[in-house]
Amino acid sequence: MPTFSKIVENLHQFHFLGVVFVGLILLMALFSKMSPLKTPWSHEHSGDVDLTPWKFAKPLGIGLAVVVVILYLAFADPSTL
Amino acid sequence: MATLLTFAFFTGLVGGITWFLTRRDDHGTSIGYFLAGRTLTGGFIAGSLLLTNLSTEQLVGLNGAAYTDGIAVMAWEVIAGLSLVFLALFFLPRYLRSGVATVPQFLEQRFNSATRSITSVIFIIAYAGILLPILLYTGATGLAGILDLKSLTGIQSDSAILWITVWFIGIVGSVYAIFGGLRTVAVSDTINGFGLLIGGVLIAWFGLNAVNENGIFPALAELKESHPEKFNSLGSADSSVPFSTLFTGVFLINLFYWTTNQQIIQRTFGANSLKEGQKGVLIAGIFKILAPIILVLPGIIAFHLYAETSEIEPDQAYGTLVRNVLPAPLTGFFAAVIVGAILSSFNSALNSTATLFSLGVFPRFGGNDEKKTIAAGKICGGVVALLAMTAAPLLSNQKSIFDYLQKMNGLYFIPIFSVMLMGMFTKRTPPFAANLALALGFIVIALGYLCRLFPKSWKTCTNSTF
Repeated sequence: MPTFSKIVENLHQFHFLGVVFVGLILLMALFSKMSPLKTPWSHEHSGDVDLTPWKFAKPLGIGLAVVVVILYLAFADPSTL
Repeated sequence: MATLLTFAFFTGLVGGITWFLTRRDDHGTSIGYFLAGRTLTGGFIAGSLLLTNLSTEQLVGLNGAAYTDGIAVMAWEVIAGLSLVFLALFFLPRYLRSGVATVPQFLEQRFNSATRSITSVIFIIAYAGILLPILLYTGATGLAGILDLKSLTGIQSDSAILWITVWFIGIVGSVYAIFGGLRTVAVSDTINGFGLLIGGVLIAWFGLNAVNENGIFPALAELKESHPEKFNSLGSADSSVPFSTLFTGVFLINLFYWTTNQQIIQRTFGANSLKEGQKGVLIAGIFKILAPIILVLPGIIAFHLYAETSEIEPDQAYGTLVRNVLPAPLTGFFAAVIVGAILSSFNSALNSTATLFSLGVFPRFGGNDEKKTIAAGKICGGVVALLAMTAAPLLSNQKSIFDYLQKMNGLYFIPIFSVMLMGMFTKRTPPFAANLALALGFIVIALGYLCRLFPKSWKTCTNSTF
């Protein structure tokens, strides 16, 4: 078995955080299966502000995501990876 | 002297306009003080999101990384644009439905009061002990690196300049955060945002003109032709942001930062409606995708202009460019812009620390009286600000502690984010699972960082199998 520190050293720091994140999600998913809440959580509206979405929210959000992909493709040179 | 006068004029102007716009605000209720009375509209939310995030750390650090690695480092900014889309479409409707002022309050509604206490304490420790001192220290050293403060002020001692800048920014930032509350912070952030937009674009503009006097498009073409390797969006494995990390840690850190980090998203909780909140968040997203013009391009310009003829460190890239291309009469304005960027990060973090204390910790022993809650927030803000101002200058002699604290900055992100996601996506995850994940995640990541920092002295790490 590799030691903990070896695993940590060989993973890029950002990958290490990614692995811990997945581990935590799996742990919580396991407990949700084993002993789920008896009554499911219901998300009540506090009534403080109007929750009507902005009509351009979705189109603009999707548009931004497309621009990001285009930006990456426009400058991509995979030869250095 | 003229520089100091223009600096004082523009810094005072921001204060004056902010005072004028917020003079009739309600500071007597906790909704008024901590949530801007739920009056914020799209423009102020966008301006405040952007400027709370932006400080000299990115101006110096990201441009410095671009000097070495090219445009691949734009990931931090561009992925932030994507994270803001998630905030607008997924997280914000849920936060506003609950009507909360803090992230821990939301977690309390979903899980239990222990979840609120744990996350409140994690946030407060991280902000007061790590974020605020680092903001002041990197702000002050960044300012000194961008502008030649010694000749501008006539003060020759490095440590005197550090102390003066830290305390100046700390005191002015505290006035905004403690006496004003969230709306004052958001309004001043937005005014500073206009200044930074003008100042940052000016530097890129003057820089491109220094590359090629025929205009910016021939200049961009010349940059790309001379250094094609700097224009690759995919970071190689040995760069500071390898492309593969965009899909794991970089994405996660970014997503946490922009969707569950109290210091950043508190202004979106003060939105007057979901519509205005989404508008503000998405406008901020557009600016994030354009931010490389201010935060990455100058680093590449500096590489083109200086890398062959002189030896400069990456962290000096932005400052060297500014000192070479900025016309002298604009120095005072630009100094006010940079100080405004530092101030707006500091006052937001301070305001959020006070909010978390007042609404997350204080009610446990102080009751629910509105006046007392606000007073507790102001006292907490004052104490935390004084501690940060005292600690920040000391970091200059403690390089290893500084590096360590900066690494710790990401430590609390992942556990809180994982718990938030489970809370929103599932209806039956029990509270004890969330509280266990918070504790366990925190410990594992702390051990991971310690192993990296002290590989030899940390014998237990090297010997234990996992």
